[in-house]
Amino acid sequence: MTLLPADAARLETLRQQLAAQRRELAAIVAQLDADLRLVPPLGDVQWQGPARRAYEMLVDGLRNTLRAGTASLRSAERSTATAASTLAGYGR
Amino acid sequence: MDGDLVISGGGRVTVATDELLTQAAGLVQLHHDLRAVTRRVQAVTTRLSPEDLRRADAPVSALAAEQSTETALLMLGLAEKQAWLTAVALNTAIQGYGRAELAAEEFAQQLGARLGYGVGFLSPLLLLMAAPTLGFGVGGLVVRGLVSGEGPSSTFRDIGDWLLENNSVLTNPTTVALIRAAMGSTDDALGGLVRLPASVVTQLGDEGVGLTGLGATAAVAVLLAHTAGMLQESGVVAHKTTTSRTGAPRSLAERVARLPSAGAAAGEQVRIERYRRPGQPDAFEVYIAGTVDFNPIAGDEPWDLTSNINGIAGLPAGSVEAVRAAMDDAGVTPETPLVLTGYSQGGMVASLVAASGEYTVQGVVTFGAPSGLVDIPPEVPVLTVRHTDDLVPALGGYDVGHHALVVERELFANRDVPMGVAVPAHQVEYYEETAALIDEAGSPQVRAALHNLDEFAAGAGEVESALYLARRIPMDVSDHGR
Repeated sequence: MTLLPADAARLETLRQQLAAQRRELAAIVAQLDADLRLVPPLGDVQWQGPARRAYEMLVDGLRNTLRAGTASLRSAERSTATAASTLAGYGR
Repeated sequence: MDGDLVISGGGRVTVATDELLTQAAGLVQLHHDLRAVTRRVQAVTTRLSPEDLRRADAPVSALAAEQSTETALLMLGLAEKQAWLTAVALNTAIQGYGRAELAAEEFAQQLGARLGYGVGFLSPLLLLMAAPTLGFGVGGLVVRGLVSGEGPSSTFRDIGDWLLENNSVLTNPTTVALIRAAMGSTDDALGGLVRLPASVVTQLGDEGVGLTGLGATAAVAVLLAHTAGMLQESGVVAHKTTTSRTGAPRSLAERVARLPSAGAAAGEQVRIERYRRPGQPDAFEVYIAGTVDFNPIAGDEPWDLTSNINGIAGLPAGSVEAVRAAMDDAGVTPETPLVLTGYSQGGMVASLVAASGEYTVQGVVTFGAPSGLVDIPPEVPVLTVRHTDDLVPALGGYDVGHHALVVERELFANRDVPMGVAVPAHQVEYYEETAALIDEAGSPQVRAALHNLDEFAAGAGEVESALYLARRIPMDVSDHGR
């Protein structure tokens, strides 16, 4: 496929934008991995009864949501990397 | 909560382990982090919208990335709210527990007061009823002393030996709580004994306006003891024995390690460290040892029972005067920034010096101190460390102030009580162990207290350390000196 110079420049700009997006997503994922450590471990809760069970449910829900959010961002990072390398292939 | 650090006070009603407080702070931090992360993800989606990608004829994977990012945004927004909700729930539970603890303590105090009054009121009758038993008991002891040829001292030795062998009875949080309740109700017992109306005793005592209380009872005990030549105060002198150069302490455990070993051969009771800080006035840290002599008749050692009881009574105490004299010699003035650290009686002395309002005290740290009655001004940061199975702090009764940050630990929750020591949980080496745990604590309350101490020591270019030995002046000599 032969690209016109204007198209090549446009695709290169897009590729650079996607590369920057990938880097930003990777940084956010690293931040979320660190934040996941702030979610309290369940085994260490030091009281008994209904309050403890309610607390466990809240902590469990928080951890699952945070993991799901992080997984989505990881997926976005991978897709962005794929898109950037696809665009890089157009010019060859 | 076996052996965990339990944090209370600091002007709040919360009572919780360091771990739970750390978790609560972590959840709040997570909430703030997630809010910031959500903004960053929003910025990513704004920079390259799906329309932009379609117009630019971007690969399908770029659109997939956009969809995943949108999903993540929803999840992170939800997680942010969950983190906040969980933090609120945990803090509510902690405060609820704190309020319950406070209510339980107030209830125990009132119950103890009523029981104390009843015991005092009925004591003549109780003595009458117990007279036959007491008579047999005393008679038995006298006969036993005569038969063994050792006199009554052997019986007291046997009691001491029994306590050494059964020290787990004394080294128990329940026993300690009972002792604290008993100490808190001594004024009520006295009121009952002299037949004051119960309502008057309650109004005058700790549960009322606080005119009477453990301090007043201790003062009465001092007056009565004077008639038998006991608990009599004297003049004191303090002189510098050694000086050295050192560095500033970098942890709470290092502060405990700097407490003088007053029971050792040299016997110094006070260490004063002078911080020379370029461009700032010199600052001082004072480390004060615990009781050395438990004899009720004062000898030449000011760190004795006489100072203990007089200190609790709020009367002039030899050890307090000795610390003042040592500080004066070291160059401490009313304007000098000062931090006081004390163990056992030393903690009470540190608290009394801070409460005098005569010095610029920027921190007080006590370990196992019977200083509950000492009302330190709220602007002075106080860190109180005590073992819940150490009975010595309980001898000071209930805490009158609530601004001190109290860190408690049940020392022998997970291990056997060592034999051969009457009050093992009071040993300074165990307080050093607890101090090391506090150094590792993560709760914001403890970190703030340690930060205050670290800030004080920071910038100390040069530290001059001096040890002081104090001695009582014999009564006739001190009388002449007045």
